[in-house]
This record gives sequence, C-alpha cells and structure tokens, in this order.
Amino acid sequence: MWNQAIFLKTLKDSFVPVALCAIAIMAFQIVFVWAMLEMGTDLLQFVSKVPFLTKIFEISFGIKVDGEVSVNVLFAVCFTHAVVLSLAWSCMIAISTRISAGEIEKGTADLLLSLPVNRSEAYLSASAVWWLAAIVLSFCPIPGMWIALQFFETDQVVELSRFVAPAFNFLALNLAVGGIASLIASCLDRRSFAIGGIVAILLVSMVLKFVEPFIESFKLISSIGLMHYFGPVDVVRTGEWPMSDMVILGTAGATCWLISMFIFSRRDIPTA
Amino acid sequence: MHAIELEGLSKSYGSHTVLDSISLSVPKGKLIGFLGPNGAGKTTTIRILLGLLRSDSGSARIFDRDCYRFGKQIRAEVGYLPGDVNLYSNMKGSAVLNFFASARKRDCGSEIRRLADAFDLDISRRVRKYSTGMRQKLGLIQALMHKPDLLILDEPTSALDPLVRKSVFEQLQAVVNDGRTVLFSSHSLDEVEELCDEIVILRGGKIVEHQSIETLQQRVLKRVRLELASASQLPESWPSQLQMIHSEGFSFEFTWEGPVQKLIRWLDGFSVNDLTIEKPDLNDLFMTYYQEQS
Repeated sequence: MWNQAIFLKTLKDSFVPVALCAIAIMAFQIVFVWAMLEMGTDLLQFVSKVPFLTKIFEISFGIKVDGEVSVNVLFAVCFTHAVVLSLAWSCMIAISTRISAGEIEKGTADLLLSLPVNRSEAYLSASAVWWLAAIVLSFCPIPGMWIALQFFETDQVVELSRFVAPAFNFLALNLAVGGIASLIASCLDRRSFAIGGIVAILLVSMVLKFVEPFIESFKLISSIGLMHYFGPVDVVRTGEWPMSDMVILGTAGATCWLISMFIFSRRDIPTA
Repeated sequence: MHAIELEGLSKSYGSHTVLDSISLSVPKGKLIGFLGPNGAGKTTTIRILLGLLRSDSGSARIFDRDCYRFGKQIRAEVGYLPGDVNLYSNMKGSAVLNFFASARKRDCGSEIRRLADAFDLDISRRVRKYSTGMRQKLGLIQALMHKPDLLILDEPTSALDPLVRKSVFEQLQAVVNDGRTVLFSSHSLDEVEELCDEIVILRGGKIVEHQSIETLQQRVLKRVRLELASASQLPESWPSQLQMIHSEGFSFEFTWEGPVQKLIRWLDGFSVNDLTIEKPDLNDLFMTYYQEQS
C-alpha cells in the first residue's frame, strides 16, 4: 500500500514551498509578538472605546476586549490571522490537489498510473506529504513565538505549553482543509477548478463565522463551516483542549480523504 | 497464451459510442500495427488495456489476466508511451527516468544509458528545455528501459527525425526478435507496412481489418506498365483482373488484381518491349478506410 518513489518525489517537489511558508509563518509570529508587546495594550484600550470595533474584534479573533487580556491570549490571535491561514492553506491545497487533478491536468497521470502501482498506493504515498506539511505548518507558530521571546522582553509570564492545544486544533483544521481539497480534486480534471472550489468553501465558512453573531438564523448554518470548530484564542484563555472540535474536524478530513481515494481509484483518467 | 485478448469490449461517453463490442487476439512475439482515423477508438482501447479507463462491457486481458483486476501485476510487464508525452518538466531527463525506475522497483541504469546513446538523447538536461522530439525519445526510453514483455506505443515516431526513427525501428525489431510483443499505433502507413507483422484497423469503434501484411498486399491492386513490340500484338480482349488506366499506342498502364504469376502467364503470348510491376502500395487500401470514416 505504499510506493516510496512517489512519496519521495512528492516530498522533494513540496519541500521548498512548505519550508518557505513555515519560515514565513514563524517570521510573521515574531513580528506579531513584537507588535503585541509594543502596541497590544494601547490597541485594546482604543478598541474598547468603540463598541462596533469591540464586536468586530470579538468575532474576528475571539478576544473579549472588556475583560482582562493576557499576552498569551494576544499571541494566540496569530493562529487566526489571515496571513497565517493563507500561507498554511495555500500549501495544503497545492499539495493535496496535485496527485489527482494536478497530474491529470498536466498530463503526467498517464505515465504515473501506467506504473505497476495501485492508484490507492499512489494516492496514499502522495497524501502522506500533505499530512506531514500539515504538522509542520500547524506547529511552526510556537517556535516563532519562542524565537521572538528571546529578543523581546515582557513582564508577563508566557506559557508556550498553552499553545500546544491551539496548534493541535490548527492541525485538525488543516487536515480537514486538505481532505476536502482532495475530495474536490479527485472529482475534477482541472486543478484550478479544484482550488477554486476549496477556496470558495473556506470563504463561505469564514463569512458564516463572521455573520453568525449578528444574525440569529445563521447560528445553526454556521456549524457546517470549518471555522466554527477553530477557536485558538478561547483554547488559550480557558486552557481546555477542544476535543469535540478536533474530532469533528479530523473526522471530516478523514472521511473526505477516504471518499476521495475511493473515487480516484475507480474513476476514468482522461487525456490532458 | 495471447499477449492481448479483447472480447466484446465497449466504451461510451454519454450517447457517443467510442468502442462498439470489439474483439481481438494478439499472439505473443508479434509486432502489431494499430491503425485508424482520429476518433476511431485506438487510444481508448490502449487506455483500457492500461487500466486508465474502465470499459462499459466486455473484457480486456493481457497475458491471460484481466487488465483492471490485475492492473498492478500487468503494468509491471508493460511499457507504455502515450500519444501526447507529458513528463515532469522541472526534472532532468535522468531524474525522470530514475523516478520511473525506482517506482517500478527496478534497476534500469545500464539500459537507460544504452537507449539514451541509441536515441542520441542528452538526459542531463531539464525536460522543460527538451523539444517535442526529445520528449518523445525520453518517453520511449522510459517505455523500453525495464525490458517489458509487451510494449504499447501510441504514435511513437510522430515527432522524430528519420535517423532516430530508424533507430527506434531497430529497437522495436530487437524487442520482437526477443520474443516480446509490440502494439504500435500510428498514422504513418509506410512505417506500419515496413515494420509490422500484422495490422489491425479500427474505424468508428469497430475493428474492420485484422490481417497479416502479406495477406493485405495480395489483396492490393498492382500497378503495371506494359509496352508491346507491335500493333499486331494487341490483345483482342483483356482479362477481367485487368483495369485499364491509360493507353497510348502500344503502351498501357493498368491495375492488376490477384497473383502476378497469372499476369506473367497471360503475357507469355505477346512480344513485350518493357514491363514494370510496381510494389504493392497499401496506402490505397488504408486510405479507403480513412476516407469512409471522414
């Protein structure tokens, strides 16, 4: 059920983009920590004076401005920042769509699948790379935070161990994104359509989460969005592991991936 | 045991029937030409054999095993060159070949070097810098490098220059001399005639011809030019196998259907100044299949 050559080739092809995105996320986290230490308190005071901004802040980052906000909570905002999400998701989507729609679109699927390799074998070997990428990208904000704390001082206690739970929550989210992207890609012959599809799903999910507090009827609908199950700031504030959210995201990702492998193993492979 | 066996194989896309219950047996150790106009179903047949497509009905077997159920085992013994060769453009030629060799779990190093020399291909360059012909050579090397028992080539010489084409023919002939089998799809009728033992012609999703080249050549009309010595020699009637094309004085140009020996016997009673019998050209026969399709 495994082909090492396909795994190593996919790993080699994906290594540079994943490494660059991981470095970019760490660099962003360093800058973010510096910005929060320098301006965090002033920013929160300003936001607390404008009710509309207070609401937006709460919806966007999960921070209740009127309460006491620790640096741990401020640093956790980085996980939900658009820059971090975009970098992580672009890698996940790019790698998880390459074995099916990507190979078909480039026309390389013909030769790849004429090798003595089962399609499920090829699929598993290539998928292992985006699972590894998900782990790297989900946890890289923590070393970024550690590096930042070596350079920038704070009188508050920063507990890096508190960020392990949100990192796992982020991992579950990334695996769900990869799983859904795989499913869409396995049904299509054009990678661009697959990427468009998953981006649309993620945008809808973000919009649902944003609109939910304003419109009562959206509360139920928003539970179908992935972002409903991702709340790193709450996790850091409460210190509780979001087990149910992670199980839902993990199950969604695993189910989509299994269905996508089933479809890819049985579908016709058209010419490019 | 047959190299390839198709039985009642059908494939449709919606209401469009691409393959209409075709049956075919290809014995081992033969070089088979697979001909037919565009859209006749050649590539679809090849893709079903490789497990890239699933047939709607019927069976496709290679070396007595079902192509879909035993796809992995079959593909270990098959070399394939697609009609449109797309390879990983960011990799070097050698890296592409090494990847395919390691995915096959085979050591093909010496064969890769031998074939690269034979086809005069520099495999140290990146694929994106290759011309179409060079990519086709690289595709041919990956199809041949593991010495497969069955080679399936979809228009393998379309982008090659005559020298490399000759080299490819030599390699294919060597494959057949080795007791292995080649299925060779092409539009070049001359090369099929030169190279193949048998031809299969597909038209409109059906096999309309499966014959040895020799049998087909006997069916083809021979073009004859005859010059008699004098008017007194003019025949009173012409044989039914003869179809006059042009005559001027004592010179005649006609087609002759059937064995040449009969023509020679008929000419025995005449004083012949000059006689030319052209080599049978299968092009005329092939073209009838192509034209009927269009």
